[in-house]
Amino acid sequence: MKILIVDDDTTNRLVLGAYLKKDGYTVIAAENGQEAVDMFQSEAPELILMDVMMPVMDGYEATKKIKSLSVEKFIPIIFLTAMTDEKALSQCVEVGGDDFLTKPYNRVILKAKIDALERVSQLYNTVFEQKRILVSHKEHEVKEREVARKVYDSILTPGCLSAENIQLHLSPLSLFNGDVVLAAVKPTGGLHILFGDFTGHGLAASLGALPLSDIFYSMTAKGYSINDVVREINHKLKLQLPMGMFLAACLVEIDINNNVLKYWNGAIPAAYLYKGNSVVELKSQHLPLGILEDKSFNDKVDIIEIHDYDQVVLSTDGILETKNGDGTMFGKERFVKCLDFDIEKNKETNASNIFEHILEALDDFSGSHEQTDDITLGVITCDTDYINQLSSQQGNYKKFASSNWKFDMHFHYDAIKSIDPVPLINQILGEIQGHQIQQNGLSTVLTELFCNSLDHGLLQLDSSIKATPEGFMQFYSDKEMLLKDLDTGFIKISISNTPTETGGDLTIVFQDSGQGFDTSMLEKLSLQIPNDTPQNFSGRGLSLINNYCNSVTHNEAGNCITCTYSWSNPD
Amino acid sequence: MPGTSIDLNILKKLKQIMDDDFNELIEIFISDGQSQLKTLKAAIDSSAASDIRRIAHTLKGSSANLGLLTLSETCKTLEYNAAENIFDDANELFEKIKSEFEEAKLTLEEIL
Repeated sequence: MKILIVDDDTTNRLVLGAYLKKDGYTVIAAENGQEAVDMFQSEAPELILMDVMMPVMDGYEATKKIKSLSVEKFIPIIFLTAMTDEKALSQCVEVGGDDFLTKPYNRVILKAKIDALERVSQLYNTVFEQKRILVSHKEHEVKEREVARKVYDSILTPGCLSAENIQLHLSPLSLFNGDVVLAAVKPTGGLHILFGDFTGHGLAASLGALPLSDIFYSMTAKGYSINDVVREINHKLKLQLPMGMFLAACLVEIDINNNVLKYWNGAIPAAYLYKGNSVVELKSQHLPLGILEDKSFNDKVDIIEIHDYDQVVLSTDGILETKNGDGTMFGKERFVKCLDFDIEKNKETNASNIFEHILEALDDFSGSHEQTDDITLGVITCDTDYINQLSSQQGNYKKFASSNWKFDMHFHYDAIKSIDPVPLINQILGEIQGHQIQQNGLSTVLTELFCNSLDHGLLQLDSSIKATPEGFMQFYSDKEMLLKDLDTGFIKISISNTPTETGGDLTIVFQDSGQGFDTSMLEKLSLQIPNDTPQNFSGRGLSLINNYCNSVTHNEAGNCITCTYSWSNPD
Repeated sequence: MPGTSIDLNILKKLKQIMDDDFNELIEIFISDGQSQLKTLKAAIDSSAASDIRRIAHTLKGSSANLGLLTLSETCKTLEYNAAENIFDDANELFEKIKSEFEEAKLTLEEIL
């Protein structure tokens, strides 16, 4: 340790210097206050012994200056003065002196004082260094939050989270907790929603949000189903995320054409379908995304029948883990209890809907009215008309020149088990004529045509059983089983375009290897069911196709359907 | 030494610690002391209180360091009086300081 002795008297400097050198210190000396200040700056001593009365600049002044020069580091100053003068002593403390030493100097006391101050100095400097590190961490975090906000904006902008049927509590800093919510409209009409929760906190937790949103938006736009989307997300996250990082996620598809809700839930603890008078849990039956290899990953979705104004309630664990004053967590039980709630009958609450009711219950529980960044809650209303409106508003399309073309696709039974042709066709159509071609229900038409060929042609399912809610579920489970066991058959698809003044006329042909059906029944059926009614799900497919197409004809065997569909370029 | 108290222990310890530097210390103390006495006399003659105070203070400290307790005490009295602007016994005290310094000088030269 380097010590500076400041004293105008040579004998004093000699005596003190001798003591200090004997104890192993490096000693430098100044003869007055001004010299001391200069030496402090040039020699950087770690401790100073300071006389009071000196020519040029006295010890008080020198101490003041040195202390003001060393705000970031603690430099102890010991005054060399008689302990008898109270006024002088108090002045020593005032200017920043840390201790006193009286003559004649006692070597043991001198050493003890220096040791004590050295410890204080070390402690101070450690604290100061820690404070500096803390400040720099804080600044770093502010920058990270800024980045998180930008990432947040960039992943939310392409979606439709601001849609009127989506109520959402999501902090701009949610990515910092790993929470992410995505929503997008399907070209076939319908809504995809993803509620996710990355492991970990901070910017690292949002690492996966960019690939996640890319896949989600682009696959949804191409018309893929959530099982394909979820498989691709798992594949990508497994590749890209570091070990131990994964995404708990619940994907929901609101299929307004078939009035069903499809969901895949991997470890999202609170996911429910609120039907006003009953609640269905969208149970987690999968591991989070980014853990399993492709071959062991299960993309099976569950299907529930829905009606208009049913609501999907989704929440990450932030709400369930909210604590009250006693440290008790809000928990799943209280959450479910919130859902057992009839707004019409309950006049005690200010809440006008289930979303507000949950947040209100959470406030009451935690005793605070501040929603923290940790809470992510979404309520999505299944409003067929509104969702239809959303999908028709979508997109700003580039004009493509209509041309003459035709393509055929031939899917054997084994291909049908693993390939959904509709997104494929959508993609091809988009490449050839631009995505405006998918406006006005083309995807819906293709989806229905494919379902008819598969369900009734190849699988010989009886759609009339869909008339009851139980049959409805039965239909989907039968379909899954039959498809698995399918060992023969094919579906041929042929699409051609003939340009018109405003766009083009598509001729779409779906042919299957099934036995067909009695086409004469069709006329009677269409007379019986002039319009869709919620009770008649089974009639929906053909009438939808009729709605969007100029003409629909069947062959006599009933296993080949030809439709013409007109599309137009944007003005 | 009649009437003068000198702490020989302090001197012995200093000598032990400082080795060769001890001689230099004593020589400096004596030569500085002599010039300080001259300046002190001049200050007393012109009743320059702050000069009296400063020189007495310095001599008080350096003599204490060498264990010259009586000399240090007398310097302290002079310093304090000067601080209070009391000059009545300044000359008397100066003579006392001078003779105590001479006595100390003899003792120190013996130790060298």
